[in-house]
Amino acid sequence: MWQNVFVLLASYLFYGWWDWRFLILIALTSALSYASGLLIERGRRRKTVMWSNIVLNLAILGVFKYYDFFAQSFANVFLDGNADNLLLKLVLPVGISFYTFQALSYSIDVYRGTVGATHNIVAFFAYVSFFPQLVAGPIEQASSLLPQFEKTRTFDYKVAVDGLRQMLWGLFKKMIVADTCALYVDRVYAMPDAYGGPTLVMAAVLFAVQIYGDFSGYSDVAIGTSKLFGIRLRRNFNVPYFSRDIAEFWRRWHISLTSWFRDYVYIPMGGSRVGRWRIVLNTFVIFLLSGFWHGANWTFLAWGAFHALLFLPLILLGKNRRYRDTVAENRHLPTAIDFGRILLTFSLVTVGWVLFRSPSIGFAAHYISLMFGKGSAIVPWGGDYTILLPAVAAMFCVEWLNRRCGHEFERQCRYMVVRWLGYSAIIFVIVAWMQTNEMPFIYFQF
Amino acid sequence: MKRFILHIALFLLSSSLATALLLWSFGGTGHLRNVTYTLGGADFLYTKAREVREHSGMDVLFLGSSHAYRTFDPRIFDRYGINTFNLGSSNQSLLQTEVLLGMIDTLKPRLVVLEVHPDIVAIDGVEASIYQVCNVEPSWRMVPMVLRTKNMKVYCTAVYALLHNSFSSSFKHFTESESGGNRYAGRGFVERDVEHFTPTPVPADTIRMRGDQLSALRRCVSILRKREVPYILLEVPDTKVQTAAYINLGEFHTTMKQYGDFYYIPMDELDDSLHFYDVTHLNQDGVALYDEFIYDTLIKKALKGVR
Repeated sequence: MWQNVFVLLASYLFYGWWDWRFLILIALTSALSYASGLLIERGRRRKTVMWSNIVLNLAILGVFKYYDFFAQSFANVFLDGNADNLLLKLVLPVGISFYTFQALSYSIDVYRGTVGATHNIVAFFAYVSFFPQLVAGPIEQASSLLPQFEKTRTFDYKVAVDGLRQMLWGLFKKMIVADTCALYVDRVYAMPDAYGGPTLVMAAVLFAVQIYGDFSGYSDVAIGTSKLFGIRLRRNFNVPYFSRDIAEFWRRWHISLTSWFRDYVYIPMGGSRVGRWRIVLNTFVIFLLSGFWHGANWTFLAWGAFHALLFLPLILLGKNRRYRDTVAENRHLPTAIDFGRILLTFSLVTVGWVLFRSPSIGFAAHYISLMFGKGSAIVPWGGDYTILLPAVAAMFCVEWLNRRCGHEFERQCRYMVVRWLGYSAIIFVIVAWMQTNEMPFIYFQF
Repeated sequence: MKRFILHIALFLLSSSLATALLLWSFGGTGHLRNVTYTLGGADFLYTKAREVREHSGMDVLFLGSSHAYRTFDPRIFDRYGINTFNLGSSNQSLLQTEVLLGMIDTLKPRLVVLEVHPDIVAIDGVEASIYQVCNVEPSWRMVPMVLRTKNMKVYCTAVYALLHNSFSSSFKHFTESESGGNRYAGRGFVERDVEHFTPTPVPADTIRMRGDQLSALRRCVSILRKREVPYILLEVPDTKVQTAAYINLGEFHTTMKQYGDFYYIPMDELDDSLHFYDVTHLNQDGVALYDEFIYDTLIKKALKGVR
């Protein structure tokens, strides 16, 4: 009980620090889902209650996140782009997409019977607002996280130390790898016409590294922090850039969101056990929804559609489950063929990230066309990139060595002195090379 | 849990030591992004911070930014029998002024003039903090200033400067040389050749006073009051084009008046072209004119009222 009260207070303090008014929103989302769980348990009009909760929560999300997008799109078509009287211009509450999905999973799980309705309101509110993963995930499903809040947690030395280790690795990925990449990427994306093709290709590759370092770094910090509280969150990234095809990539990238859409949208729609055209439809729906979840912009939809197109041939040919294992399972290095597949997958994903990073589809098309232009690879003026290549190389080396582990910094030397020297070296690198201006997490905007 | 806390404490201690040693070892190579050690500069802070030891029982101590060390010339005040020292430094914000105020124990001034400028209350003080930790001998007074910047570059440079300046002979035997037409004239004043400024319109701008700078000003005032050292707040004139560009100069003046006797005495005789070398700094002709003016209108009267 008191553990959850502490977690709840800490979570609301954490969220309210940003803007206390949005505490009302998260409390409302929690209350709606909590009440829906109890009503579903009573057994009357269970489906209506579940759908009411889904509609209400999505309505809140829609108003804050998507209303202006649709209003502007409507105005562009029917009002010559004049949307001044239609736009609400609301501030997007941080993490709304994450906690809304987490709250929704509860009522769906209760309806399905995979989890019982909880009567412990403190535990439930703590589940929805748990601060380490509140603003950028991982998105937990009620069946895996809620039971952890319903029991007393005990401190485990090994788990706590492992959590700290994971946090340190996450901080390295965010503060050194991602933020240094951002210096390069932001400058090139601000003026793509000023650079030659090789520089634009380099910026596209570095954005792929940046978004991975940024988002998986956050996830590592969130999962590591949760371990200190005795809470196990699901793994959100599993060395995605070592994937050999797009299907494997999607099993390893933003796993919590992919699983959410798979379990609550894709499988209820029939998944891949339906006719050929329905599979095509289901695949597009899932990827478009996934893209649109990221933000109200046509670029995210295009990014989703691009991945759907890459994924479709695999699922139609029944090859989407070809790589269930980890690359180079019993080897130190991948075979040449696997290496080629990894490179090809990474290249395709990188093209997708251009759509994701661009402010508009027109910009993305222009950027991609410039990537094939001539010119030399130059380093954009104004940044300190000393640490960039060593840091990126170090990150991929460590992750390659730990690719079969529970997380990318799990395997450790048995000698404490060596371990501590290693941790101190990482802390020194962070301290000596971190950016000193504010570098927000990319996924905070979603 | 006990074992965990013990190990964390031990690790933090050893890791902090290791980080400090690594910063010291590699800070001078120029490859660490967050160590930007610079010894010496246009304001001769290194020299003047050492010169302080040779002076005591000053009549007036001036503190502030480049507007202070390029405006108050002790040689002009000498003519009136007033012994002054100028502890102004480049971009010195009130966070740095607070640290330098510690030197009043040595200088024992009868009056402190805190130069305040609209641009200075609007800066974060990071650059000046780094510069100060590099050029002034380490002291405990610097610790709060360093921490208040909340900037890793300041922290890292401070650690490097602390170790380097404490143990390296290059710091003790450093000699600041003239550069960019700046000459050290003694007792903190930096002189330049007479240059003239061609005024061009300055874009309108709002003064955005920072809460941390106003808090630092409050602490500066508190230090002076506690030690019963009389002080005045003074804004030195800018060019007329610059003054006209401040949208809310009145608000700035009203705010400054909350912290003590604040003076902003425009001097009509100052000509943007003849008496300034850039948009905010007087040239030596302007200094001669303004210092005599400010002595007559303000300093003389202010000193009469103190022991």
